[in-house]
Amino acid sequence: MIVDTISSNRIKSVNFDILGSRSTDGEDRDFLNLDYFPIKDFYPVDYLTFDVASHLENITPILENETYYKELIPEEMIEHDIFVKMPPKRRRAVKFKIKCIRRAKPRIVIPEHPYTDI
Amino acid sequence: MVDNTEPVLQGDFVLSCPVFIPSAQSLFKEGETPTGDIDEYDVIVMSQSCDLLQKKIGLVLVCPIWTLNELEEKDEFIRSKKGKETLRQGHMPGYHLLNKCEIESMNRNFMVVDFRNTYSLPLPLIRDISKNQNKRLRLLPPYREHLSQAYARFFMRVGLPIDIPQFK
Repeated sequence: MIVDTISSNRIKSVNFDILGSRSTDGEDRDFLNLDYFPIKDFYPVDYLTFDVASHLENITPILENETYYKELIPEEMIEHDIFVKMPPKRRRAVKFKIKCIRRAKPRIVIPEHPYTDI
Repeated sequence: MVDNTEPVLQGDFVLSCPVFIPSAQSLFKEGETPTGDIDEYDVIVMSQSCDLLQKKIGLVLVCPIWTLNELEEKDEFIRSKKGKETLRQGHMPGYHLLNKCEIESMNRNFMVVDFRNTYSLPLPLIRDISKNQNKRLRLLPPYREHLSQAYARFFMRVGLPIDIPQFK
């Protein structure tokens, strides 16, 4: 099963007993309450009925100790938007002389493959 | 670890980068001699490698890096086990934890990238500093993309004025 390879710490394994065969692998539906004939209204009475309860002796529940996984929403998932004010590694006071003040000009970079033809 | 002849790429560690901080009262007129500070930071390059290689940017986006110990000294939450675990899991959007470096002669403890204090420094300056560094550390892919994505997540996050109340 794919779940064997899941290793996220946000995912916790739980034991889960399932009814049914391997063909229902991955499904945890209640076999006994499943309506297998949702279109039965279109057919005569008793044509497509399947009374599960009266056939219980023919049904062998396969109890498998499958490992299912469900995602947890731990408290840690709430973001901790904290801020630590750190001083610089080193600070030096400087005096500088302004030689020239000039207005900045845009630096235009034209992409090599513009998306104009798409 | 790369040699100083290698071009600067995203994820490179550049040490002791100067950031010029003019004082608030500085007069910016030609011929004046205002004062300011130069703060030095160890930084990691955040700009895209292709932009750096093709010289499509003049300024390099960098983020300060701190050792985990330095942050622990400053903040009680990070000092706690829960805080460190929160940081490791990436649930502190302003910070990104980098693993220990065990390369011989470049040993480093856990490092934390600070996304809140980004600086843009001239590319020639970054190149000069990295050349003087002899050897420098460089994050390998996919860790550098992971870092870049964490920064993007931090930058694009949206705080809602009224959130949907918690389900109980």
